[in-house]
Amino acid sequence: MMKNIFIQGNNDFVSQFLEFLGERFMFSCTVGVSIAEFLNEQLGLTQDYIDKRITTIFIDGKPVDNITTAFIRPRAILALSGAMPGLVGATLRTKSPLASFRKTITSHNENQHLKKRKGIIWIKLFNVLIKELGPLFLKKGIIVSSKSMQRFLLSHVTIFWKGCTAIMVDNISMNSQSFRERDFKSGKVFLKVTSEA
Amino acid sequence: MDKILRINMGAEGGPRVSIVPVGEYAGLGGRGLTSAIISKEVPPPCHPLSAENKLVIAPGLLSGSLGAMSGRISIGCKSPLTGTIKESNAGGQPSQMIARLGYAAIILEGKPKDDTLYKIFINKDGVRIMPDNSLKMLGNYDTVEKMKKEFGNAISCISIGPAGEMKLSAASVACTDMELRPTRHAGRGGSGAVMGSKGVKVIVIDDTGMPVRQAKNPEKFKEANFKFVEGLRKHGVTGEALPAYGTNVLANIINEAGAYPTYNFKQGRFKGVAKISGEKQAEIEVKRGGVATHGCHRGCVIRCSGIYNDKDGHYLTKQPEYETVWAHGANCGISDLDTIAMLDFLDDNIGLDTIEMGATIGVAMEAGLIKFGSGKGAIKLIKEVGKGSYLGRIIGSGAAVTGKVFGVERVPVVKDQAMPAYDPRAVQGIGVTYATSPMGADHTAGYAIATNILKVGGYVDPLKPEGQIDLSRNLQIATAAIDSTGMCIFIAFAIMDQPETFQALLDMLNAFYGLNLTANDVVELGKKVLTMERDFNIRAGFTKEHDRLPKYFKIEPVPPHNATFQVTDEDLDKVFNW
Repeated sequence: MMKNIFIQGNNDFVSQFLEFLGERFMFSCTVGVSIAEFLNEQLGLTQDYIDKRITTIFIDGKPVDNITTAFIRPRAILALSGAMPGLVGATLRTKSPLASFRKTITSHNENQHLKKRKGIIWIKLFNVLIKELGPLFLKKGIIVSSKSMQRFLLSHVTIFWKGCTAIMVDNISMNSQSFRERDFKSGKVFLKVTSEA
Repeated sequence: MDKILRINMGAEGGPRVSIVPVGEYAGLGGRGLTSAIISKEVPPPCHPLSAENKLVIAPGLLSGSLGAMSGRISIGCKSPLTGTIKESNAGGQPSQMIARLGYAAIILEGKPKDDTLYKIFINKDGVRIMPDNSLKMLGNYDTVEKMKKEFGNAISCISIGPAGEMKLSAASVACTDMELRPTRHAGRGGSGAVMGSKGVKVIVIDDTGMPVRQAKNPEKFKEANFKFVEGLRKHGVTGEALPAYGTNVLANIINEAGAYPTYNFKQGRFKGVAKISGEKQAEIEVKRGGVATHGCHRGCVIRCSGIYNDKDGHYLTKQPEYETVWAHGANCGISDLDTIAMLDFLDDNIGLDTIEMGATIGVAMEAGLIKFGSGKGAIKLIKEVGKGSYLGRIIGSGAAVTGKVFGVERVPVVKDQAMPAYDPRAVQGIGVTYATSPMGADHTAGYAIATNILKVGGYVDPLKPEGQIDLSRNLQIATAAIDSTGMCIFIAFAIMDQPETFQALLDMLNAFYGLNLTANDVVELGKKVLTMERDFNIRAGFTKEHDRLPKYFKIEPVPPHNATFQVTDEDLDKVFNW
């Protein structure tokens, strides 16, 4: 059974958890939808933000040009990035004028036949989007391995936890000392981290 | 910048200086000027290390002014690595200083009669050339320290390390940065070996007493420069991604695309990428008291460089670039940033091209000399180069030579120059540029310049991808033109997306020189430069058969996309049809 962890703290404290987003993490959502629908409706991002800030998108390692026709399958890997430098960085951008340079690896609207249902996908956030979208994902809750959770807890000294105002594990409150010492064993944990209102 | 400093290192009675008007080369800067001089004055069939070859050092057209991003310096010659014409450029302070002293170029000619090593000092009072054999086999860092003691801190240096002295084909030319460290390198093509063949260890430049170069129309120049800077700052790449994470911000993205060459181009993804990404690198730099946002020369507003400290918080090297981290990292299976930073320092100190060295070590690993992933082994190999052992000299001669010596078939080179950090099977368009660039495999030969702004080859509809051949041609033309202004190539991202920023660049050039350049003129300049370069190569014996990727890229699929390079030879031969 996956443990549910809820943590609340000040902004500085919460921002430290962005470290979890440096590598891929799992996210529970509705799959069988387009990337546009996922970003707009499930994450609540505006079209303007998507157009201006999420300029490079990959689905299962394939660059995406049209987010309304690229669909998300269960266990898909969705990677989101800001605009990148370099010829190849520019080539990989959504709707890049250089798209023909990478036509053999471009996403070609696979998975449109899938039905909508609940599922788990992998998310990768890169560069400027870690700070911009990271808190949103942490607030909605991400799924991480117990091992990486344990590693994170052990790597942060006592002073770090002073910014923490609440911790709950499976709806039971606990203090930071007990939380740090807790053995989450193997498997996954569902982690929600929010800043104080 | 109305004069050229020519130094004949082989003159009777010792090196002889002549300062001549810029003459027929007027109006050219950077790559445009180096390629024009090499193309006209160097016999194409000559040996690159012979007296007939020349080393041309040229600031950009706006270097020495208050124009932003104008501190790029071009270094040109016939390349000992490729045998082609070569221009390699670098940041740092020398470009600004040479320009303020009024020189459009410094040309090293001839060849000394013996093995005496020289240092050259240039200031407002003239040029002094002094023998100094105490500099022999010194690293770039020690060389610069000696120059500081002798000439003070108001200098910049252009130097070579032991690799250049040994005339190794992967030798770079180092330029000092704002902190007077030899961290900015004209790396590609072995220009350091040509400088070594001229017997010049270091050129010391002191522009004390020289004013900032003034525009013909100062008000218009100031206004255009303001708009240019504004454009750079508001753009997502030049205003955010590059300053925050440096060029290595690309690692995660290229890896995600399956185009991140790993284990000597055997795979397109590296498991350890998160440990060596730009995001991780910036985090480490900040934690250790280094700097993640730093310019490589005064007047830089993008500031994509940084300072990388060791675990104890002491300076180790400048922020390693994306290409360096890839070459010494994923390509060699090394996922430890401290090891990569040490390799970067060693490359800079010995005076080596980091791309060529990473690719060469990858080939050595493939040969079984050391194991993939062995950081200690990689460091040992680079140190061998510095020592000048037989093995070190082989490694320092680049991937193609090393592949031949150790019997390796999979050697990722074009015209004997190692490919940079993008697998051409995943991103095939860059393979077209690798194959056909006059410089050998080069990721900067066809950069992300605005095809739609320059209208090179007509408007490109983003939703209807044009052919890779046409795009590569257009990009190579546009890049040759921008390189000839001597502006940092990273301005490309802002001028690609923002027409007003490109116009601001044109306005800066026009206001500075009292010209009326249009986008069409820029395109024509690019074509002219490429035509000169191609012509040189043809006269040097290069044919269309040299414009090819190694065969294995056509037959060995690279995971995860399992793609092969599919562009036909017939199509490659069309790139320069205009």
